[in-house]
Amino acid sequence: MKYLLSIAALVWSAAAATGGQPGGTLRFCLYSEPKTFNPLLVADTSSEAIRYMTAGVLIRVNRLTQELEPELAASWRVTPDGRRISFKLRPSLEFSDGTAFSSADVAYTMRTLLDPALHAPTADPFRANAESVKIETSTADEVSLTFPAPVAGLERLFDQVGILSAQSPKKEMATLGPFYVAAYKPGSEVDLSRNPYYWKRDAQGNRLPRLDSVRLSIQQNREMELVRFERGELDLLTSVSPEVFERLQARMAAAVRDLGPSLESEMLWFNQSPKAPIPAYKKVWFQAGEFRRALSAAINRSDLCRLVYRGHARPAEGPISPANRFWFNAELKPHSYDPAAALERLAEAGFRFENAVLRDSGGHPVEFSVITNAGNEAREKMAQLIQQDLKAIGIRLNIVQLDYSAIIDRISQSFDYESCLLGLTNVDLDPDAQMNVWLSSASNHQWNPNQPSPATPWEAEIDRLMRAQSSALKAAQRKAYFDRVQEIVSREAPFLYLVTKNALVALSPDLSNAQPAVLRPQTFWNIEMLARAPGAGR
Amino acid sequence: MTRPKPTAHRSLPAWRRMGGALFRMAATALAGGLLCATMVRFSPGFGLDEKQLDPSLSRETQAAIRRSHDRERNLPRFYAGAIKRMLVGDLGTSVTLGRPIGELFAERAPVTIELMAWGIAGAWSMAALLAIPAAALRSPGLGGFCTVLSGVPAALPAAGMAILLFRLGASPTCTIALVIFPKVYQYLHNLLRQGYAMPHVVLARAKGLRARGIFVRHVLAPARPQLLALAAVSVNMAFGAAIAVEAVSDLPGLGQLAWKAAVARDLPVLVMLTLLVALATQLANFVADMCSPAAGRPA
Amino acid sequence: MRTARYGAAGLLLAVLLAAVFPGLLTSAPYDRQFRESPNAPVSRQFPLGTDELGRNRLSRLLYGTRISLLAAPAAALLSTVLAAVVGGLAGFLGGWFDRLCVAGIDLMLSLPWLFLLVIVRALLPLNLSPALSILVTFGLIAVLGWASAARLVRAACRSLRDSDLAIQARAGGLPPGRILRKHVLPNARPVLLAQFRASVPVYILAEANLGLLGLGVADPIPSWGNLLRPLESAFAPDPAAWAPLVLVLLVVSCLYLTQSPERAAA
Repeated sequence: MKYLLSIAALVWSAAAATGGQPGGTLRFCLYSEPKTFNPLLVADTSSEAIRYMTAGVLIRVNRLTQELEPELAASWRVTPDGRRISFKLRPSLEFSDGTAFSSADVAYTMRTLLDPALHAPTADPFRANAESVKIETSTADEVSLTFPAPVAGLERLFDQVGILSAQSPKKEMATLGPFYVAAYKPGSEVDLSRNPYYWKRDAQGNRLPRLDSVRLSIQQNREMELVRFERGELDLLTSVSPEVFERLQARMAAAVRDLGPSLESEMLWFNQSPKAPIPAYKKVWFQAGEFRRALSAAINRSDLCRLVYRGHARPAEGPISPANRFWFNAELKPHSYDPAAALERLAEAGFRFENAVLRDSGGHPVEFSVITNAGNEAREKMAQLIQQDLKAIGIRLNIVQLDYSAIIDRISQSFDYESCLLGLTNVDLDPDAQMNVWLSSASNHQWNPNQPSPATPWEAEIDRLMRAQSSALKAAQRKAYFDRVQEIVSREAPFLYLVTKNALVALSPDLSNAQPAVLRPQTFWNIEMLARAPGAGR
Repeated sequence: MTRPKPTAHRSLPAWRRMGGALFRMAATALAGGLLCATMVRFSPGFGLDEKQLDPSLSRETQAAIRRSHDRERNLPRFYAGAIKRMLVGDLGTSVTLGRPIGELFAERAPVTIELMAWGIAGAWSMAALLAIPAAALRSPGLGGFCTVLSGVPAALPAAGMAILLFRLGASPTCTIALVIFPKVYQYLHNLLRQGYAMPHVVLARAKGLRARGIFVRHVLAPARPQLLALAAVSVNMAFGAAIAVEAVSDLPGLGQLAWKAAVARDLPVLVMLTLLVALATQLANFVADMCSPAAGRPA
Repeated sequence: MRTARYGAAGLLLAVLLAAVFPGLLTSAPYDRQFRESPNAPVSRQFPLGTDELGRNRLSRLLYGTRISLLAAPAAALLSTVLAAVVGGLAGFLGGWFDRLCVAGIDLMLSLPWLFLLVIVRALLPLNLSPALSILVTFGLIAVLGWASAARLVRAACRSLRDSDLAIQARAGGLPPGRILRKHVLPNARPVLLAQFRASVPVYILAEANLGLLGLGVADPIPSWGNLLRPLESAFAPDPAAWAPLVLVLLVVSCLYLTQSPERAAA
């Protein structure tokens, strides 16, 4: 008996030392049906969450430090010209079905990924195809890739590339990550089980992951998710709204965390497209920088942060959040709230403010609509606050809430809108992923997409700077270029950046080793280390 | 006075009448499918994907995403192809879920049918429990109270009700029942009150006939056509409620499928769902009509 | 019971007057944001507190009453009339007309009208006047909401088509329209009344749901529907947030009570 007790004590103290006992199931929700389990075809957040937990990658971005860490690749080297990357792989690794891992699998994955017929979203940032990339596997543990042109931030891109097995009969279901997909009940849940061949061990040499399994419920309704979390049926909540955060804080203070600024911001922009089926005089307003800057000055961003986000947000400085430590331009400041200055700017631009109505030089009262997606309470409230702010300078803003598909139609196809209030999430830290936003010829250049040639000198300048940063090799040089882009955007205000939201999450107190971060996946980026606290049930 | 001849179709053999009814049902369902396809095809956002707002995607990938909807853009060709495939048992493939629609229906139908069946049963039980005493006792106070009580679930948003009941540990079936109940109660109460106010019923009560017999033979029986019609309409109401309840409760039924398909403008799924709902609605109404007394006999 | 009816009518009138003349009860306009007092509790300045943007809840409730109290019953009335006309004609005339109407009703019940609503919104200008938005919204609700009642009206009228009552009326030389109007449709009165009563609260909520498609009453104008939306939250909203629900129930109950039971049962 004494012997058994001492063994139990040993195990318990070992568990306590490592912060948690082995075993147990982690439970949280996916907000939509995963569309694929093929790591190369991931384009939605649910599939991406599963890929993160199952697929092995060569290099991982540590979500906390935002630095690169070796994963399947023990080391790597990029040539000075930025075109070639060589990996030294960890030896003797196996997929979840026991199939051996080697450089052939990396080569197979890259060839498949870059196949133009696949249209893999993960391939796009590489800006190459399978024929133009030279893939060499000198040994079973070494592989190198040579691209036709320098690829900005090349190493970081491999964080998104899940390695497939070239030989396993299970194809993409054979994984190198901490878990594998054990069961999938469409519309209901996805179950992941521990990968018995997972290569990683903790500092004490114990095999990881600590958890036995992960249960992902497919639950779109956030209210139901919240009820289940309060009941202890779920362990994690991400993207918690400020109201929910505060109420959970009152009831379960240990469960909630405000991680500070996230990578998500809210912005408003005006339709500057010449093709827009809106009155010509309105196009003149929206295309005038003075008008945009004046309206930006009329919006009280502090009130947006205080009333809509209950203090869990900060006025936005520009397209890059301060959470993006390297790329954020610390010199930029949010546009300050100054309705008097706004009216002065408008007066200089030929507008006049009479009898509480602002009119342009042609006598038209300044009235326009803003579209935003219905069902997003925060945006609805922001729109109403902005409506009142603009009313104070004589502008009538009509709020139109539409379903998301209708919004996409208007901003990308018909261009039948006047202004739009939407959010932006920079999933990728590197601004090269935003090329299609800043290039004037691109389809995501929201205020005036697909320009045959830049409509304004400042857009031409942004084009030049973005291309320069894309081909520059040194990080400091790239940063200098992109800082300049941010300054131009702040000055010309094609987007009025409103707020940068804080990352708000909730974690079950039963979990140990949780270190939530602002980068996605916020709460389970170190899933292999998560464990249930000693003494926790389940 | 001689009674007029029954209308012509009643002299047709039953198999011809049945065949005619089935043909009409099929034709109506097909018309419904075409109307649905037209509305979806021309609604804003058709053929678009939120992935198009992802700036990391290249022009070629975005073009590929747009091309994936090309099959549905030509509406006559799409619909003709869909019907042709359906005749050989292929209901098509969901654009958003990438799975055969037949498989999706087979998986999800039992969830919805169970939800609807219990919901309708619950709604009718509650409605009967309140409406029968309120009408039979002819108490204005009781009637008013029951009427006001039936207004409570009608005034609550279905999503809020679903969440509240979930908190209380109740099944989503209760939400469906509470959504349908107010309308069923209103109709039932009024029909029964009308029945009890008929002179011959008043006389029967005055003569001391048994209450149960009066209720079954003289109140319920004359209202049968309308009650059966109400029962058939309940099926449709239940499906409408199931969409909201399944979407909020994340139940993997046909209602949730309908909602997801609507949001994503998934044309193949929406057309097949419309055909299914149209057939089910018509079948329910047809059965109600068949069980009703023939036209000519007063209700 | 007569006392109750008069009381209900009086209460309805009081609510209507308060809605039309909100200045009697509160001085703040419905859209004014007291940004220093968001979610304020009940007080003399804010008898029902304020919402998250600091707007006076009482002002919004009164103004919202003006819209919903007029528009929802009007839409319910319209849908009831449509149900009476289509269902009555189908049941009474029978034959191919009946079969055509039945097919039309079943289609109305089966189609996903969400897309029609989305198309209608797309066709309307973005800068829509509030009056037009309310008119279009409640008009659409009424036009799409009559089908289930039409089925029941048809059932009622169908059973009377060749009844002794109808035969005698025809033999007496009454035209079919008069027979339908005076002798057959009254038989469907309970169904029509039930349709009207059941539709009012449903249409109030439907208006809020249409707001998710860009129709409905646009911000900052309040309506009962959008004031009831906080009740969808998993957290119990402030007690004052239940005021719209209480008012809806009160008004709907008054509408019910103002109906004479004798006339309803005839």
